[in-house]
Amino acid sequence: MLTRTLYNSWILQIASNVVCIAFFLNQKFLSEHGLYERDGLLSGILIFLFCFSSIVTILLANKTAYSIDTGRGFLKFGFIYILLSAIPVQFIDVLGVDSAILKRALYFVYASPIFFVSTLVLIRASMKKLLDSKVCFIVVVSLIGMFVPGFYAPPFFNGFAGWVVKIDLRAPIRLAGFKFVNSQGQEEWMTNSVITPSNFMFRHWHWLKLQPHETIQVGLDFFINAHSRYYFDAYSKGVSPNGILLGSFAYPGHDNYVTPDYSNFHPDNLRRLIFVHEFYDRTTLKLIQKDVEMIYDIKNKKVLKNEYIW
Amino acid sequence: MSSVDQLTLKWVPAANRPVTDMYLKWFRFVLYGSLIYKLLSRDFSNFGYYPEFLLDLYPADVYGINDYRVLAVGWWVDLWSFHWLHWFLPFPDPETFRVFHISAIVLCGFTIFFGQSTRLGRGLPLLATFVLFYLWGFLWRSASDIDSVFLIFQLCFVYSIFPLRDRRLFSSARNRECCPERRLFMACVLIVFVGFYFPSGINKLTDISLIEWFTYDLSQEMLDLHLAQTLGYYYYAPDFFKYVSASFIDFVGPPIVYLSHFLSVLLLYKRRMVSKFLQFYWTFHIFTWLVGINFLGTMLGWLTLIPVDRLGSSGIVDGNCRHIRIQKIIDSVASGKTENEREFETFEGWFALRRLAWSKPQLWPLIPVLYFLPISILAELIMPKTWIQIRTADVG
Repeated sequence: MLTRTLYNSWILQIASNVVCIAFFLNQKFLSEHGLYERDGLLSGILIFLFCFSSIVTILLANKTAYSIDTGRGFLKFGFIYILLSAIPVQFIDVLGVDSAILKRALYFVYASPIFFVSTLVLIRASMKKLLDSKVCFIVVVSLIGMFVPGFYAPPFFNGFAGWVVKIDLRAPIRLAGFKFVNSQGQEEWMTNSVITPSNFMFRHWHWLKLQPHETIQVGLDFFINAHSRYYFDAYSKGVSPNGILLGSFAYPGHDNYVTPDYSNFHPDNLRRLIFVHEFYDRTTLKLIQKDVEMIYDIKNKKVLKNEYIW
Repeated sequence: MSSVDQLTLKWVPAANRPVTDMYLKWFRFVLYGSLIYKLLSRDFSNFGYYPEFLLDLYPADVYGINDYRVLAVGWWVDLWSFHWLHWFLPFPDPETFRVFHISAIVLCGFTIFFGQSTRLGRGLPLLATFVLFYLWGFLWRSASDIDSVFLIFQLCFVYSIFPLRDRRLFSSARNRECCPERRLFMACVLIVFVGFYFPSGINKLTDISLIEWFTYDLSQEMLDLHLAQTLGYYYYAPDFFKYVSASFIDFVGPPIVYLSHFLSVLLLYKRRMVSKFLQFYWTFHIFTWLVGINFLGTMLGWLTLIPVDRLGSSGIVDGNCRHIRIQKIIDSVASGKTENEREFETFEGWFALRRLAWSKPQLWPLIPVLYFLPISILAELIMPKTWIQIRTADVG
């Protein structure tokens, strides 16, 4: 049964390979979606990848089928298989295909035999009461999380993404965010704490700023009302709303932040909420540029400016 | 336990040892205690004031169709977080949110104290888990996709589904293993840890190139965050970054972390790897703290794996050492099992010394030192295995 399942999976993989290559060779589709950046070697390398993948699959399929009945052997070859499946994706990366989900989809195609074999064996064993269904559930969900691109079924997900931070030392330091402006013209940063227990205020803003003014106004009013609600219990005491009960010992937000001194930013004293990008020189730490993306008049509830800058 | 269940424990040999009442009490205490700590530091009633359109920002909407949360669409997230209720019912008002919030704290507290020992059995922790999923569902649908709770939520879920027949927190009943499901539970706990880190390793192979593994500007990122803070920005990084910030970290740190994600599979095979991974990932998450991202929940989740049931109850049945009189610390392991039915485990060299430290209260302060990663790795290499050997029996 195991061998048959494995070879079924292998046939599925070849079929997926063909579909995948047809998809990638459709350069029109790729260029329309901005995914195809380099001319030239694409077709040749894809054919090479197809051959490579098929050879590796055949070799490992035989080996895996041979060792599948001994758990450790299966896991060992599964582990190697999982790593080898990533090699074609690395080639695609070099080609300049810059889409996380496409690369993961390609990986899924190459790693599919080991995924389908493991999953089917576990589910069948569970159905025949050979395996505890709870163990089966946890392992299958982990396997799906491992292989299926974009899988997200909270609290199960497919791991932290890979990303790289590159900092250009010639560029200035950029600080961006909302700022309160009071009646004296002083400015202070508005922190993520207004949306507690959520944390990613910028994501809210990136969505909000593309909406009509009426919607933006409702969203910004929510931020300002939250500041007013929390002012006496938290901000005036120098803590964020997370610290209302536990003070400075509170469990911090997912993105760490401190609470600025809001003593001059009593809710009645607020005049404007602005979204700014400030640029500072790396050596002198002096402000060299300030772009105001959005201005909201709090008293009159009116968006005075909203320009997409970044 | 069926034959394949037995096979599970062969595939996850690190779980194939007694899971005692005391360990389960510790597991509950750390897990649900962390959640109570987090709940006491959040105000869920704020969701009652959210405009509805801000509660419609699922991860797939935030990242877009071309990115890696493509399956995090509304209806699917709603199914897992019980938010399908809101296909029919309106969102709660702030007062109702307070009720849910307090209920979650109370349920977590009850689970710490009673575990599965009440008439409700698994119902109590399951209810706590469902309420937690429901509350955090509001984060998942308002542009927060992870919030450092996934590992501890998965552990809550695993704890809730296995019939463990554990005891109340202050129960003085004998420390024993009473059902075979406990080992399957432990296997699933280890699988959860591997399932949490291993896919992250795969993502490092698919999302970025191998060359990029060595080009992460980690030290500069830490410095930039520190400079931003100096300029009055509200994002925060601890000051001690300067002690760990060096350019060589850029070349060494990220690749080691990415490799460790793959090596996390070893957790299934060697229980001794737990202490090493615990320290490694605590260090890693402190570094993520230095670039402004807090994984306190995940760090606390690792503490659930500490085998506190060894404290004071060594289970040591025999051993030999030229320098320590092991006869003095041999336990009279009370058990109805015969010698042949018992499970024995042998510890040698450094591992035996560490195992001894758990058995005597006078040696407890030494435990962190003996497990400290650099010391431990060095000592394991240097210390001869024949210097000290002990044998422990199960406490069941």
